[in-house]
Amino acid sequence: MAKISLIVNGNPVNANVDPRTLLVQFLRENLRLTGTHVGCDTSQCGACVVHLDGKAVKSCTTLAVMADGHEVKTIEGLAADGAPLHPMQEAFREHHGLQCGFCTPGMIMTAVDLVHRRGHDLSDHTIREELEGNLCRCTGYQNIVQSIAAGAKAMANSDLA
Amino acid sequence: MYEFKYHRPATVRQAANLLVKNEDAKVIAGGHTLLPVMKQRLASPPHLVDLSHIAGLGDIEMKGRSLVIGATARHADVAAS
Repeated sequence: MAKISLIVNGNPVNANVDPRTLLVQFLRENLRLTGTHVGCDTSQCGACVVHLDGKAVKSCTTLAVMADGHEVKTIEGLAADGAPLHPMQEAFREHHGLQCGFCTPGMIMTAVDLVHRRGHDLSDHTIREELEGNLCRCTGYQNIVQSIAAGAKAMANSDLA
Repeated sequence: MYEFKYHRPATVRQAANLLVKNEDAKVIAGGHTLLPVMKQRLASPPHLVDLSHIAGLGDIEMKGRSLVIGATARHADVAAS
């Protein structure tokens, strides 16, 4: 077993884990943060994207021990319970950027990282290119792209990062 | 994934010592090639040596007239630099 301490959604977490525990397993099974999904489990689909020190990573291909001493943010950490949604979440709701919703947490975490890196005025081409690592099997990507463009703009006027 | 022992050296010297001591160890940095292979049980290293916490190994800097990109610099960091 390995001792790890990390910050998850702003809260300090200490745990003893088997070194082969994946970060996504740790989040879902130990911390019961089941908003982060396991889709393909082969780092292709992006349903498991979380932020590690502010950068999007696929948590099915990260060991929990690798997050020791770091800061993790999951979909649950974007906006407080009961508080208004994060602008990117709100944009997905408003623009119908989901059908079944399975890929949505990963889409949104990727989108927020994209805005941090590429700014608030995103062309459709940029968004489509950046969504290379996120698969949605319900929709065309049309509404997802629209949601991200709108969410990116809305984030410019929001306190929520 | 098969069991392994996880090591997290803080210096290149520590990492080198670990690799000498454990001949069948694998080094891991980001893990995006090694971990999927381990998950499918195509690889089963008994030791993993994590290089991601060795300070300076991921730096991108000008040294004289040379641009030096550290071995663990992320693609994203290189692209953004």
